[in-house]
Amino acid sequence: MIEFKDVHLYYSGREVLKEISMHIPDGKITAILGPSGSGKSTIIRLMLGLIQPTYGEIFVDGIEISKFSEEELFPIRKKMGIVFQGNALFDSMTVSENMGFFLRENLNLPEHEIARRVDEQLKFAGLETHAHQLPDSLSGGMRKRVAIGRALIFEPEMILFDEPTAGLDPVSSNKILAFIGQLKKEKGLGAVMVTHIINDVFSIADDVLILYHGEIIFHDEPNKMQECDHPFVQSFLLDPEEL
Amino acid sequence: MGDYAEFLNERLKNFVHTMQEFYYFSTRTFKSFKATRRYWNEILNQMSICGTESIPIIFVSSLAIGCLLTVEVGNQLEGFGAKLLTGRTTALSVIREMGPIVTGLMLSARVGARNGAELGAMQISEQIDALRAFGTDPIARLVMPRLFAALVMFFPLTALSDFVGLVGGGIVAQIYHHIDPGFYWNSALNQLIVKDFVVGAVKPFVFAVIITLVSCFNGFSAQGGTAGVGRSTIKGIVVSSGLVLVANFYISKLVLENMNF
Ligand SMILES: Nc1ncnc2c1ncn2[C@@H]1O[C@H](COP(=O)(O)OP(=O)(O)OP(=O)(O)O)[C@@H](O)[C@H]1O
Ligand SMILES: [Mg+2]
Repeated sequence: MIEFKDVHLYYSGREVLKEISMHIPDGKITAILGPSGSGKSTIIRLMLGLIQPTYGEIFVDGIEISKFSEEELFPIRKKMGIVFQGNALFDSMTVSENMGFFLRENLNLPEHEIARRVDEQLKFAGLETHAHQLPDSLSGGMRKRVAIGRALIFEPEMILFDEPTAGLDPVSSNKILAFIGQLKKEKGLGAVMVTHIINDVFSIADDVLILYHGEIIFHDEPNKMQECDHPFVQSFLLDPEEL
Repeated sequence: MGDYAEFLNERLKNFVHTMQEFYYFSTRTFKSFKATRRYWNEILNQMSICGTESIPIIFVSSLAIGCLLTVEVGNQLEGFGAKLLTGRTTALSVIREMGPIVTGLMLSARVGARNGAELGAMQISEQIDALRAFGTDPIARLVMPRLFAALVMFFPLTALSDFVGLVGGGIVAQIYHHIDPGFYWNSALNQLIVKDFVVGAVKPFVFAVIITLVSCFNGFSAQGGTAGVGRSTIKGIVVSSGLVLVANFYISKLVLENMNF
């Protein structure tokens, strides 16, 4: 469970997030929808403690993390897997090294146990034949799957996706969405999914949170969006391409 | 006028802020030496990159400087009829100053560029954030091995530079100034005293710290796409070579003025 209380964030004097208060439950898929530059990635980074709010409080499972040091954040980060907007794969490591990265760095597992779990994850992601390739030699959809595998391998309680479908063709992007839905159904894994594509929201999200110029203007189930009278919500329901 | 004061104020604030960050970055790097065993392979890898692979450039540049120095020094001394002091003068300048400076500048270009560009690219592609998100301290994993490797490798590289410079000088002394090699080496080595070696030996360790920390810090601070990586790499090289020259001056001054043997 993630909770923001009155979070403000300034970047060099400019207020990027204004008074964000929200509550994201476990076991559900919450979409964060908003135009480019509205602060979506920034919210994700705050959840992991990668940046600190200028003021306000952030709770993860009831623990206030906004002033934590890197060491204190580690147990928090272990609960959340993240898939970055640009994947952020380690480009000097092979696919299987990327996937096993967390296990090798943080858990004192024997090498054969790491290999077994990595193999399992590779098979799950359909990447067995690419295990020894470098990320640069893969297609966009495959890279995304490596990033997802890397985030899932340590069995987090929640997974954060920053624009998981951006830049993918419709087939790949549907596959990724179906996969996120399947994770929730089979493993009860909650997700936060940042997106600017309205169809992503309707196809899998339980809740949607709309961010506009650093403010939350809507937070409810997707089908309640029609009832929202904020001009921005109205205008893009009519013309989703506008985002 | 008010605008300009404001502008200066802003610049000053940024500068102080950057210095604070740099101080924090440096202390964290030194603290992460406790992870030495964990990242041993990475350290070996960095040693080969910053040490072994730097040999050719150090070799060539030191040879060139040693030869030129001897030509010039011999010509000047000849005017005073003191050509036989060429060996001594060359040895002093090479061991105290030229060896460390040539090595320092070459490495701040070679190692500094590599650190700045590589870490800068990792920063803008969010790989450094990914390390943090997956529970790894990027400073312990990326910066500490580079600093460790530099601390180990810069000294032998400087010694190599001194040696090559002296040999180059010896060859030129014989061919160009017709000074007998035995005489050259005698005058070069006989009168060296401990403090000459101390000056030459302290420098590479100081340079290793300056070059690695400055270039890595700039890589970590890269922002604004590929152009940003370029900017931060340049900044890393310019600042670290400048600091190398300044540090070189003060180390020479401190040691030579205060040591008497
Ligand atoms: N490190 C930074 N320094 C200064 N400004 C920043 C920084 N990171 C983000 N911003 C600014 O904060 C705002 C929000 O950025 P953010 O990346 O969160 O947007 P986003 O909603 O994820 O956009 P996109 O859909 O393009 O990814 C933008 O206006 C951006 O310019
Ligand atoms: Mg974003």
